Amino acid sequence: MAFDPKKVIEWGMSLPLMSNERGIMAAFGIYAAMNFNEFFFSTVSKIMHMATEEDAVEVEKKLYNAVLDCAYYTFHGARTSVDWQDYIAPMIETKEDELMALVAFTNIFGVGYIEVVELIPGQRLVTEVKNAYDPPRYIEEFGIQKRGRCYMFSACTAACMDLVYGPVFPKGIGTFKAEEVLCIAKGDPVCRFVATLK
Amino acid sequence: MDYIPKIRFEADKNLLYMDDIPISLHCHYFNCGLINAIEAIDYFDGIDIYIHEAAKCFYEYFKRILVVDDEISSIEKALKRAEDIYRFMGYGRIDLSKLITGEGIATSDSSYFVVGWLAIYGKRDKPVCHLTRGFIKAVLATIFKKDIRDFNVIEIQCMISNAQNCKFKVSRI
Repeated sequence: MAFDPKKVIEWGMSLPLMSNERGIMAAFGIYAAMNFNEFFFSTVSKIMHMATEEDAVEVEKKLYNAVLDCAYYTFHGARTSVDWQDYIAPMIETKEDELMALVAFTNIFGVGYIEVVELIPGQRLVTEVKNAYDPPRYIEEFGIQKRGRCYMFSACTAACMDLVYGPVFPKGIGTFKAEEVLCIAKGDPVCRFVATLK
Repeated sequence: MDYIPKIRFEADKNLLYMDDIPISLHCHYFNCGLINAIEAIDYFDGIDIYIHEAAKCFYEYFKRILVVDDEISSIEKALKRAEDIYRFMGYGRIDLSKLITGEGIATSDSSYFVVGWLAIYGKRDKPVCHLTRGFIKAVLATIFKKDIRDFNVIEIQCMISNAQNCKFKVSRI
């Protein structure tokens, strides 16, 4: 069976992501919540502009690591779920299929559409996003930025490589490091992320 | 629930909306990691910014669905709807029924931020439900047609420190 990323998105959309009576939404070993996109942008952008350059870099690192944890554990929880084994696993024949499936799985959380533009197995993954929420908001509120602002996608790109080509879970986290080399917030036409071995 | 927000997903763009407002699903690593990063800065009150921005976003949303008018006939019903939305969004379970005058105590016996923080960092002395403070400000500002700055919300006890429930003391400024 040929791998079809749309099947992953269809599967993800069919998941009953609902909070329980106690208002807790638990899935794949994590707790999920719905955030207003504007909330994340407005909070982080104000913090970044008030912090010293040194602290802003430190906050960026912490956000990157928070998302890395988020993606690494969530995606692993998904790929080891019974539903994934039933519905997605039959399409996966190679590590590269699995990598594509994990990137596709990112495309169910409402954060903008991420696509693979280059994959060198075990070495390098390049992804792009054209419709992330934050970059145009940064330009609207603060003008063209000196640095990329899409912390979420950088870490997701690295996490997918960690899970597929890194040491066996949970030891593989941080095997790859991703950078945002292009960002719409900097005036670039797309946001582009490159993950390579650390 | 008397009101269930309308969720719309644009699969080809990976965009998610709740009642036409862009939202996304984030896990506790992300949300608690954000708080952890902000709290580490000690020369300005980043958490105050976080609470204010949360209040602003909830207020923009609540202006659409929480105004006491013909559809929501009473303050009690508006508070109940806010509780339902809080639970729907995955933030836990909260009782706002004692805030009928715009002041008083709100309690929560189930908190997303508490379970999330415990899972990553463990217990601590400081409260962790900062977003809930912004949420309560927005609820009251909408219902009483005030500014979000007109309400002071303090978390006076938090389950992250072994309290039986989280308590929020609300006063008008």
